[in-house]
Amino acid sequence: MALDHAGYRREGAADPDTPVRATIVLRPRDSTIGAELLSGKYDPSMHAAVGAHDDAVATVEQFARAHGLTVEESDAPARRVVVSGPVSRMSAAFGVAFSSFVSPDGAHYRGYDGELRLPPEIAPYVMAVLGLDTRPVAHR
Amino acid sequence: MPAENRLTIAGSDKAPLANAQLKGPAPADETVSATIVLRRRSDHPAIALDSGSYQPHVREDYGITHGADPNDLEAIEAFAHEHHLTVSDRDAARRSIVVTGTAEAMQQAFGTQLQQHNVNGATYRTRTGTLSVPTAVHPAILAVLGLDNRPIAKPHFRRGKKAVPAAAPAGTFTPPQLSKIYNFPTAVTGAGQTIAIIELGGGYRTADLKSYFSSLKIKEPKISAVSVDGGVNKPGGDADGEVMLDIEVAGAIAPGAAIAVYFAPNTDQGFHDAISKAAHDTARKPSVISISWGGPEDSWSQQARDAMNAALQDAAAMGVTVTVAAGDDGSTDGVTDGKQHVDFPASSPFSLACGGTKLTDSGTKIPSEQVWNELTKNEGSTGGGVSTFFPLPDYQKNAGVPKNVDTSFVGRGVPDICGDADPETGYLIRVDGQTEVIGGTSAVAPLWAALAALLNQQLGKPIGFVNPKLYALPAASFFDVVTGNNGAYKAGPKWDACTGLGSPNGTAIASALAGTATVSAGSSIS
Repeated sequence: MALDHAGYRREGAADPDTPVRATIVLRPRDSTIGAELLSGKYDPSMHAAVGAHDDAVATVEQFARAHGLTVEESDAPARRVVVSGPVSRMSAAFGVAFSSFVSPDGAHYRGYDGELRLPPEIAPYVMAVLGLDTRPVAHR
Repeated sequence: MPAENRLTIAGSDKAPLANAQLKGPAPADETVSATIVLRRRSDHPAIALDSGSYQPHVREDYGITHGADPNDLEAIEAFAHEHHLTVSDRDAARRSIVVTGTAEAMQQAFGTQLQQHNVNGATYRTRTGTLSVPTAVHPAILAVLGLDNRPIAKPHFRRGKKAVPAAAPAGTFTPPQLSKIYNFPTAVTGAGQTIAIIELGGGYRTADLKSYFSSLKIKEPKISAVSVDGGVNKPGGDADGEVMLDIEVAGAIAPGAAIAVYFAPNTDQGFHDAISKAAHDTARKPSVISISWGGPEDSWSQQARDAMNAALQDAAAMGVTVTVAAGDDGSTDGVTDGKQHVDFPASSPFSLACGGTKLTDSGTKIPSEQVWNELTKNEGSTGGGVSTFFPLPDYQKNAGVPKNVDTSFVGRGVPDICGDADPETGYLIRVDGQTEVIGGTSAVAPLWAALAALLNQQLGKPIGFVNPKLYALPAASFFDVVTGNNGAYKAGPKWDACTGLGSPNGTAIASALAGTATVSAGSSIS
């Protein structure tokens, strides 16, 4: 999904050497749990543990290494692979160009244009790639 | 203790903090938490990352083959205990031991002096020079982190709308007073439970917590800070009000529960990772997560919303209750496009969304409450309405949730339940050395989190993902709030988009849940 840059001023291309730490969120292996929880009929004994597909972590790690990214952390039950590398490699891995933006209150953030693009071998496993964009999301 | 031979930890040298003013030595009794990082065990081969046979490890197996040596873990625990430090966490897979103790004990254990420096109005604990440890444990230790808490990352959080303190504390409440008004179970303290609190900025000072709990004559709960994606406990900013509100409300109502505060940067990554880490934390095993942060539902990217929602679903599937503030800007959630908005993650169907009321202590068994709406005074109003993304969940099918007023989408109704939130009838909280009155639905999330911890202890098993059960409870389980509005939505009998099912009648909820024969939503998170 493309990010909305409304209200943000573009400063220019992001520095290609800036280190980035991104969290690749994997899809749950069992897609029936959600509906059962919401209907109050969830029985944990009827399901394998929560987590990613068996092949997902290895496939995503391979993808990351092929793009020169470092795998910092993999957690199959938590459906999370954390990768790091410079902006330039993130750009090549996820098919987007990064820019630096200034928010209305003067803070600097990294963002990207267009949609993230993933190769077909990992796309079915991936739900989100977070951390590429650094804007604040929450207030209290 | 006999004199020890000590060796310097390589790479532990720390330069003085730049542009800082020395305040003096760190208070000797300040509680300090440090992470000792251990070497990898040597009796297993390294992982061949590039070989075709490489298989990823799940966390539990990884620790056994590639984590720390059990002998090293034991030796370092013994060293910590000899130096009056408490081992608050050990993780063979992450090769880390977290120790907690006074500044004085840390100085003795690691051969350093801890000081305080001021930078731009914020105070940090600092050290300079190297660390040393006894010769016997020296080879096992790669690093000791956390003695020095100078900032390592620029905070990304946006300044929120500060709760307006009331002119006088008349009509305001301490958390134990609310516990009484809402009829919470009194024979339990939350013992055996861990409440996780998610914070995307700010920090707490141990001295403030100590004096707060002592002023209420409550034993201070066990409180620890967990760092996620570089987020740290960093008091000194506006967000401290949030952090202290959350800890003090949860801790005063359920003082027997341990509190783990997960600090993460205010980005979608930080927020997601904090929830994910708390939900999957096999060391602290939280049974409740309290979230007082959020943003308008459509300000999130689809992928971030999906990822957060899936992490909340994981928590639900593992039997963890997640309470989430519904927002403080009425039915628009502060968005100025002329439409109505709910706040996320409160609008996730896996969140227990917490709305807000204005409470007057009537002195009777039924508290006098109406919808929190001080919009005319610019003092906020409870969030609430109908999601434009999440469909109506099964458990709300008979609740009378209206269609979304802008899109006619049959969506998830927010909130589920409510509690006192109006700053004019707010909570007495100690922040950065001062007592303030703070409100907001931010207070209701830890209020309900504390109730969940009490219920978990009383019922002998986690209430887990409790939403479907709450909607099936007898009406007397809640104090129905029927007066007021939050802008576009009005309160009325039973569920409404301002106060949900109502505020808690804690003891009635406990009895009703004890009587329900439904299958529990997960009973173990290990």
